Amino acid sequence: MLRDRFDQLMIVALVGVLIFTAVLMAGAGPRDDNHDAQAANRRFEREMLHQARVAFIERHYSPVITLRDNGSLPDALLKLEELSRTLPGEAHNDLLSGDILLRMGQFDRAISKLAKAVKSNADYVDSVSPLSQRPLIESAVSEGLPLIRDRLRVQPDNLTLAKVLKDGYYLQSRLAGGCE
Amino acid sequence: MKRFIFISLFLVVALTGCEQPLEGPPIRIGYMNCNSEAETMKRFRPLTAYLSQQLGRPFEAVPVDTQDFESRFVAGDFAFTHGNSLLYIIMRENHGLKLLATEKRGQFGSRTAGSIIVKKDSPIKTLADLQGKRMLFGPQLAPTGYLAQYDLMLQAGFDPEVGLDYYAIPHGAYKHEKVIYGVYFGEYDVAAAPTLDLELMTREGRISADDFRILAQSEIIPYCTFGASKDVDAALAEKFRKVLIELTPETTVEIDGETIKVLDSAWVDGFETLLDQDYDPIRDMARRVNMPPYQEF
Repeated sequence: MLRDRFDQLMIVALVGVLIFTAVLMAGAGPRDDNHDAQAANRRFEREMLHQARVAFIERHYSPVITLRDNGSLPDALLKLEELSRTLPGEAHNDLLSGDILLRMGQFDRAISKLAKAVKSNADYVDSVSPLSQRPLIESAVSEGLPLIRDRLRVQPDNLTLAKVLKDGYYLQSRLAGGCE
Repeated sequence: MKRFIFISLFLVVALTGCEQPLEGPPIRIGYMNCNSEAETMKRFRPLTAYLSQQLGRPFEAVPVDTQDFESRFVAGDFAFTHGNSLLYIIMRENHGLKLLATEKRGQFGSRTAGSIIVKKDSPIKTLADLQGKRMLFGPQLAPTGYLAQYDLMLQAGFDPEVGLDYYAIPHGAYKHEKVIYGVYFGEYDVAAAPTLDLELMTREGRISADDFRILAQSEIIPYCTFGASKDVDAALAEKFRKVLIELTPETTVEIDGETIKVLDSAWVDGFETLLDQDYDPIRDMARRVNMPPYQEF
């Protein structure tokens, strides 16, 4: 089989390559470090995004929050209407509308707005997110759903309220950890 | 010959099967004019055509001035009604009008409110500060342009007849906008603005939320309402109601060769069936303000 020196040389080279490959494969240590670095990068990026989002909300929505906290709820809603022109489809507009409508006792409209906000940005139901709004959403669901169910018992063919009920169940499921 | 008969029959079926023929005499729907007859017709002709198409009956849109609404209804000028929520109550109490569906539009859906507004930098901070001021109201039969604000002031212990220096109602069309601009341009100190109009004008960029301060806002009450005369066949009224509440933003109708979105054209987000008792807050307001249908002399 090993008829000449060339064959022997080839066999030695092959064994050498196999040993080198085995050493490389066994050296998993440096790869772990790489994984950790990537995970840390992802965490860093996520935190940067959260901070940027918090700063963005603060910059654009602080007048609304001030009006809301001063009890000027109709003025706050009007300001949100104005902001919807410059930031159309922004989830925080829906979230704040839901919050203000809830304070005004408009449970059905509040639930629909909050469901729209959560559909656009799941951070609002994430308990560890700096954007979490779980207490607000929980109170909308716990106060609003029984009222909507009562009304639907009297008016089973009210399609608008049937849709609000679905939105309420959606929020309930997201609060319980369910997915989209 | 057989082939000829077959083709003829096929053509007859194909051509007549496309559109349902409308049966019976025209059924008239009285639409309350918000600003002008032309605007009313432009808004509601597509919806009326869609109702005809869906119900197989020829419906006809009739624009009606708010002040003439009751007398024309009593005279049998129209059987279905679309008007503001105070008109619904007047027609309900006086003529047994049946509630069909309520229009959804804006932040509060099938409901809305009346606001008392001042300019942002106005020294007026509370309703008591209105003493001796000049105020502009919307039309007298407007639930959120007159009634709700008048009631807000009475409830706060301020009688506008005695406390205000002067108050007026603008002439002509677009009264609600004139009321808002009346304060914006400083002609009046304070105005009775429908919350929905403030919302729409802000959304359209015609005013800024920062220009005004809402001094007070009324209870949230039902918005414009469809009703049917008690003489309308109950089954037809129910079908009419169902067509309205099942309308979606994608619903279209063909008018003059154009495909038109029914809700968009009517400036409506949708319809909801409310209960007659949902209108009780307006009844209470009308009683307190001594307005029809409870007016006493």
